[in-house]
Amino acid sequence: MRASRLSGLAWQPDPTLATRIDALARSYRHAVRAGLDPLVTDWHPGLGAASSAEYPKMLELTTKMTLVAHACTEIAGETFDARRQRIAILFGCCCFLADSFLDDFGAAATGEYLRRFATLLHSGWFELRTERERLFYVVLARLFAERNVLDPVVRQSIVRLHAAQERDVMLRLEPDRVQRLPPARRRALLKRTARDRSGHAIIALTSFLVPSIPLDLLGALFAAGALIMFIDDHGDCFADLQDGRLTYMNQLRQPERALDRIASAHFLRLHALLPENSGRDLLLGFLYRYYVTRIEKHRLQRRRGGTAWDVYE
Amino acid sequence: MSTNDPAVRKLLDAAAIALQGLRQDRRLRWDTLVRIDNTAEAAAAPYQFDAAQGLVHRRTCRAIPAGAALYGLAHITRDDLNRACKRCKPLPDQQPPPTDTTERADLLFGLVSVIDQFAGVLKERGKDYQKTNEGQQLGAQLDAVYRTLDRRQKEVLDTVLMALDQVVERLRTMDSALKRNGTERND
Repeated sequence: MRASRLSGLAWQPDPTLATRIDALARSYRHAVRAGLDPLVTDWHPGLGAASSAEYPKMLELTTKMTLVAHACTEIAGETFDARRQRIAILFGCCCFLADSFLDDFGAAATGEYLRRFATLLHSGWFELRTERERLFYVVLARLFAERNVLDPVVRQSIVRLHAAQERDVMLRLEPDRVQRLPPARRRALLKRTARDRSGHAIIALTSFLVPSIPLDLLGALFAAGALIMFIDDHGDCFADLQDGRLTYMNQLRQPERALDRIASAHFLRLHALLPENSGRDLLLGFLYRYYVTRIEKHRLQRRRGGTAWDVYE
Repeated sequence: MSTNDPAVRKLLDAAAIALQGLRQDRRLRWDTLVRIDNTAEAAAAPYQFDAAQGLVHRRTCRAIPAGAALYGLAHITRDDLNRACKRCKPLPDQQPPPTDTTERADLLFGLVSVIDQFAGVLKERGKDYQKTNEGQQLGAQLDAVYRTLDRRQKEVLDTVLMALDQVVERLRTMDSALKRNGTERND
């Protein structure tokens, strides 16, 4: 890895942290498969078919989500027990399927999904048309049953996440409107959208896991979520451009340098704001690992090309 | 049998889908199963927490930036003052505001909609919920809910319970169909 500003940070990953993350990731890959295989077999067998490139990607994303969930739970002073692991797995699966509705079936299906999901949020009713939607609803129902979904923060995080996804879709479906904006305003809009998508997602995840989130923690976790999205968008720069999708990171002349600056500022802030415990170390270690692997992914895709379907650690 | 038993879970999943199916078939006429979207209540909350800046504002504060990632808060505590906006200087209330009727109705709808399908996990969930301030006030709130139910709300409650009966009936039908066929069928 090239020299980065992260090497000058006050916080550096403990040498044993990488081993801990590897062990947890291995264990959660098994748990995720054990949790999702029966659901997929029962409600959307096509997804789990041997030829499906999508399912391994779903398992990998859910494994990452479970690691983040573990970190957030411990940061909040709780134990990441079997029930919370189940919640994290359901949440990861739910996010993956929701993203697929937005990204993989064309503009009309995207708009239709957003409309029906808004109805679900307003009324609890969701019109089920396909196996995939049936699986999504079953996962969502199980997730909602695990927590008081009428808790104000749970509700707001879900609604805010949906609104951020809606904004992101509009930017994608109407790129001309975005392109017409002055560059600085365009970048600010894209940056805010990226920040909100993952920021609200990590708040939603954490609020499903712990009884309440103190405000100090809510702000810090939002920042961690935002950083995940910037790192993710950097890794996907070329695949996104290929799909005609504008992101903050793919609109920058020197994205790696910008990401380095953003990551340094976020690491400093997170180190200062998060309580000093094993959850903080796990979250920072995960972010550090994610940063390093996505810088590599970006470089690899610049040389060889790639698609959004490639699965990376 | 627990709700984590795979066979029971699958039946509960089928129940959740059956409930949506009843609505799609227009056999359920009530408008709301559970309303997650609390945008209006959140916007009207007296305090707004900007998650991106990490600052609590009063609702009307002009220092709230455009496009802020806001979470509405019904009240704040002294512990939150280190996050207070220096311009509007929000202060904690002496006592938490009373829960309004809309929230009580939401709570009732939410409880009724999940109790039948997911009763087993409520106990586990309750352990966490009891740790919250809201959870500790729940007993008092529930008393208030039942005391303040008006005629319309009682009618809605009756309708909900009747609908759940229909779901159970549909489940029984599905279950016996599965047993007859000897195979699992995806509806």
